[in-house]
Amino acid sequence: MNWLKMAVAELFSLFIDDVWFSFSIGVWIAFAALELPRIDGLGEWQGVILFSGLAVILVASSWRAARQK
Amino acid sequence: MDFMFWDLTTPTVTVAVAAFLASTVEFVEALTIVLAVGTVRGWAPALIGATAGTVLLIVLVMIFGSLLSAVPIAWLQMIIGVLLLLFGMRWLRKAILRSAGVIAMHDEAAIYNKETEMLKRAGSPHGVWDPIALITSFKAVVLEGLEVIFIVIAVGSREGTLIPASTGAAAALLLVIVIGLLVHKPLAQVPENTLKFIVGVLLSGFGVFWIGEGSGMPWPGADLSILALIAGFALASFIAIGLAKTPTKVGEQS
Repeated sequence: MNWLKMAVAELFSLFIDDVWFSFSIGVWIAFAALELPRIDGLGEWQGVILFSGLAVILVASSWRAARQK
Repeated sequence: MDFMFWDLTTPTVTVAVAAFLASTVEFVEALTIVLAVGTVRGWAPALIGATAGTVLLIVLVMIFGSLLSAVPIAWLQMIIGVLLLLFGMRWLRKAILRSAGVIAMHDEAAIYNKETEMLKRAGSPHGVWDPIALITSFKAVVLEGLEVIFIVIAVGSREGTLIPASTGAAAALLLVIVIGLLVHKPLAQVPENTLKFIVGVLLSGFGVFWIGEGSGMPWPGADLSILALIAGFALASFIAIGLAKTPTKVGEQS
């Protein structure tokens, strides 16, 4: 079973190395995908809002990691 | 404009470039390990391990490739978009932190030296079927190859983009093999962090686009909005590098 644990860990590490970073991305995607289409009049702004949130997460997470170092 | 078997449009070229650059990074990493194994334990087991790893990857592509066609398109776009975004933004964040000097740069020469030391300490080689050489080489090819497969399938998941993505990855494989054969040492001169930065930006742009498509969001300019997303991630990354550099400098002065 050791090899299976290793394979799962390797697969996991492809997508996640900072849990809070990945968690924030997941939460924002869930919010944007579920809630934005329900708000009237957003139209093509939905994608812009989705991207903006992700850009903020990227900048904030990098800044946080640099401060912790 | 037609180019071999695919239309030469902005999205297909972007897909091919993304797959080529990402695959180059992964193949260079696999080459470093295979070179270390070949040099220390012998070329026959190193190449047998690498070939066995390649065969396993081909089998996995055949299995998962046929399973993917059974998934509804909106779900597929959403799942691949999320995975692509997590993968791309993880690379991008790491490249930002390396550019800002927060974490150390990836060093192929150092990895090669560490790997050769470990392989030397593992005892004397056991000929063609040396288990340490076979397993190390096999594992390196499978692990790095899995990332290549994921990238090719993910960026090539839109109709008409699988061939450009595969072509990009195949070109990267050919390039790394040729350079590896000529140079015969780890490709330490490859600007790994710059490549990861560019690939991170490209994959993140594709990821957001697929998520939007999967959840039914209309994109301004349709496919061309991928380029705007890529530019947006590049801009955010440069801002992040600037901000990540500041605390370190303040810390050094105090």
